[in-house]
Amino acid sequence: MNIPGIVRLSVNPPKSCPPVNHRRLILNILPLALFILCMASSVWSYELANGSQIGHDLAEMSIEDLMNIEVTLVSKEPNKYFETPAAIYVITNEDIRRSGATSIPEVLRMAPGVDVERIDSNKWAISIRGTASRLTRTVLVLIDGRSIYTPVFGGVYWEDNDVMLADVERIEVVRGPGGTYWGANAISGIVNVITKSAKDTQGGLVTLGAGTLERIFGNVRYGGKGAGGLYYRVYAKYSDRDGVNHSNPDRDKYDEWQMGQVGFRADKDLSEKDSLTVHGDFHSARIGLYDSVSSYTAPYSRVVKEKDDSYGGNVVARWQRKLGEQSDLAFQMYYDKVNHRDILYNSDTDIVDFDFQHRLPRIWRQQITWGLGYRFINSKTSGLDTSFFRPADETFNLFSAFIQDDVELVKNRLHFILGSKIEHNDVTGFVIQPNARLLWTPTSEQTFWASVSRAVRTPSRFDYEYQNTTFAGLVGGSVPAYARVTYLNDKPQDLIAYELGHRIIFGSKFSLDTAVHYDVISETPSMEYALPAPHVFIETTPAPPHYVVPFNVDHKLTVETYGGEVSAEFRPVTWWRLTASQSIFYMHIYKDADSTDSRNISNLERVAPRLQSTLGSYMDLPANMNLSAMFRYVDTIPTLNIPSYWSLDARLAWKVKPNIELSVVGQNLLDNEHAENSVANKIPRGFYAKAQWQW
Amino acid sequence: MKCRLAILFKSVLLIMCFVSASLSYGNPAFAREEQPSETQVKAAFVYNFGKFVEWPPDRFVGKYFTIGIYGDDDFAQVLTEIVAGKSIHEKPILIKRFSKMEDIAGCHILFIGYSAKDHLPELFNIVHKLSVLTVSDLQGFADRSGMINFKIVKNYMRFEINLKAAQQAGLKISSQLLKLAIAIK
Repeated sequence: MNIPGIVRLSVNPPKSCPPVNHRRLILNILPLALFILCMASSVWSYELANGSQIGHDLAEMSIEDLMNIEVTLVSKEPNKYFETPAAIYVITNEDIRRSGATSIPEVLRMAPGVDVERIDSNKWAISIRGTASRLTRTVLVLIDGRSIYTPVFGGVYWEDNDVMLADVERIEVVRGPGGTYWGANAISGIVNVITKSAKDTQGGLVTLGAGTLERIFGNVRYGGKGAGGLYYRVYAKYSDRDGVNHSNPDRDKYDEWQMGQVGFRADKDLSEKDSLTVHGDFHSARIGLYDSVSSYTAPYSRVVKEKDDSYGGNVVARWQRKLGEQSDLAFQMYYDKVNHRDILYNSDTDIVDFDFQHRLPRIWRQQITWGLGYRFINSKTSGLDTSFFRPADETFNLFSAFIQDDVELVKNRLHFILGSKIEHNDVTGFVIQPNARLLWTPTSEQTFWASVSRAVRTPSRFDYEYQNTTFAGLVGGSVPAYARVTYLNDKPQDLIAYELGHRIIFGSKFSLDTAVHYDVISETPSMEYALPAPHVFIETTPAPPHYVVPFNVDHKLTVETYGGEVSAEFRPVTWWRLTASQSIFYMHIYKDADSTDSRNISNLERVAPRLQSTLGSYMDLPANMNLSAMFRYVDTIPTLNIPSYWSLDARLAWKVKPNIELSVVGQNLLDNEHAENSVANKIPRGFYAKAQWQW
Repeated sequence: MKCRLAILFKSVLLIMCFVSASLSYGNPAFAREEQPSETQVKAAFVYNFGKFVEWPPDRFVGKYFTIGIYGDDDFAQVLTEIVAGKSIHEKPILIKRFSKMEDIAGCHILFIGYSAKDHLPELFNIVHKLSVLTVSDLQGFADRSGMINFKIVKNYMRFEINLKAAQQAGLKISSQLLKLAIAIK
């Protein structure tokens, strides 16, 4: 019997089946009907619960009764960091404002465990638990989800990337490998810069300042609202920095830094559950450069001084959807173009990146997050005959996936987190980075965490495609000799890190955060002789004939690092906040048995300062003023002959009106000048004054 | 064979039916939805605080009892639902949302949300001239010049009171409320 409108559960009843009758029909329909009813009722109970019936009942309850309701924690902000099983330090918008810093590298000085060395007016060497050099390739830096490290040498061109600091919500600095969440190349740490949403930056903001080192700078931002819940902002900023080398006027002229940047951000809630963010920037920087360049013909080595223009831009789009109480998914894509000009080589890089993440709802006490990513990189370079990449142009495809499971072993007390990231890149094939963490929260005031992770640094083009030939002198007064370094390190640097950490809060006035680490990094670049003794050969082209001592950069060093960081925050009275931190870092280097690296090992081991301390004081003064001071001590760097130094940055601000603030900042106040990364370039004392107006 | 498949299909459907039935009534996730949210509980507390605080008489003229909210739009919405049609000290409740600090004026209670996190000193400067009961869920609020600070202790809502700040603003907090606070500063 064919009853229209009833869903047939079988397409064609075969002849061997019993004939259709009413009982059978009910047996057919019933499960389906029940199923639909169950699904509908579960949806109903969800809808009911969400109504204002609850709210009305609540208002009738007494305070004593309200205090007996168990609330489900939706971690909005502060608690989030307390229960993170990693060494994390958060720099807030207020910290940034009160520090007087005008660029991200300067802001990072206040984070423990971060070694910030200013090379000159526009270049910085920054590392976390590692060796700082301009080409530090072990810190992953993100601005709003976009990675700003360049695949050319896997480091960060700090001179090309700027952000409007007044609109930064916070900067998360993670020491140690991020592994699962953030991916390869995060082997020493992560700097995650997060800007405020467009909703939180409504209205106008104008800043103008002038000073000695910070010659002149200005920012303008305007945020507005559009139809249908659209919030947007646009900004423009410009800064002109003086050279630092006042004792060498020639060098000083070519140490300047002018940078202009414009950008926008738009946020819109597409529905109750969906939100979309689109942002982009365009920057143009003029950087003074001063470097020596070698050539095969006389005069063989000359100093090149020039002002180079680099520019770039990016567009990022991110869509997030809230699926439930603790479940969401996010999809992001961006395009990033950076044209960087330097004396030794130029590089134009285009990156297209896709990223997807899904956090599943909690089930069986577990929270699982997983994600997929794809990045396409098009890298074009041009160099000199003594400094070039081979091949000049290349494209890369990087695939990645990660999964992480957070298991709550003991309710609210013990969590075990297991995760792994898998990447595939054209150079090294598959790379797996597992990590395991344990988080123990015995009381709401104290937490302990432990972690073991493997992190991998994928080689950059600089590691295995670059060659540099440097003039070393004239043999016998007439025949030129060169040292040639060919980078052949195509094996990824492999780090295993063991970490422990502790956080404790005493009331709400004092908190202490400690972390210790021990890491073994294998396949670290080493400098090997390419030829057996006497290590030299005669090359005839390009003419004239010359001696060459070739070196290959291979991966025959193993590095062992260990140390720890302690940071504390104390608020003795409501208007005075004190912060202090101490970082210790030791490094030992071991050569493989077959290594011919002839560099002085103890020299290499002392290339990072062993001790760093900071002491900060932030005071709210009467008459709408506030005073902040940040002392820092950095231990000696024997390898570069840099002595230890104390430094003081101070800022005095006055809110003339609620929306107008004037401030005066002094930087590096304790010495006329001090060296941070090079004895040739000492960083001088500087002052600037700034006015900020909001409406 | 096809017959067996059909039977298999139907039994799977029956099983799914039972599973979804148990899920909709026994699943902690759904049960949780019937429990009030953190925001709803906080809003109920704020409504109750009003009942246990006395304002100086010259500040207590006017038809309405006003609760202002700065820096948390979700809270404003939830509070509006909870206090709909209710009164405090016999005055009907009016909810005011402030988007700019400079506009804050004319309210008896002010709830300060996370957007104000980085601007507390300026905010306190503006409100200390008014007799406003300041309430917040920001960490350390009562240690600065805030009056009442929410704190979640082992999944239960608690609060701390900065009595000095309240007294300086001319507000009198009933001893009944002080007894229930987990800390008095």
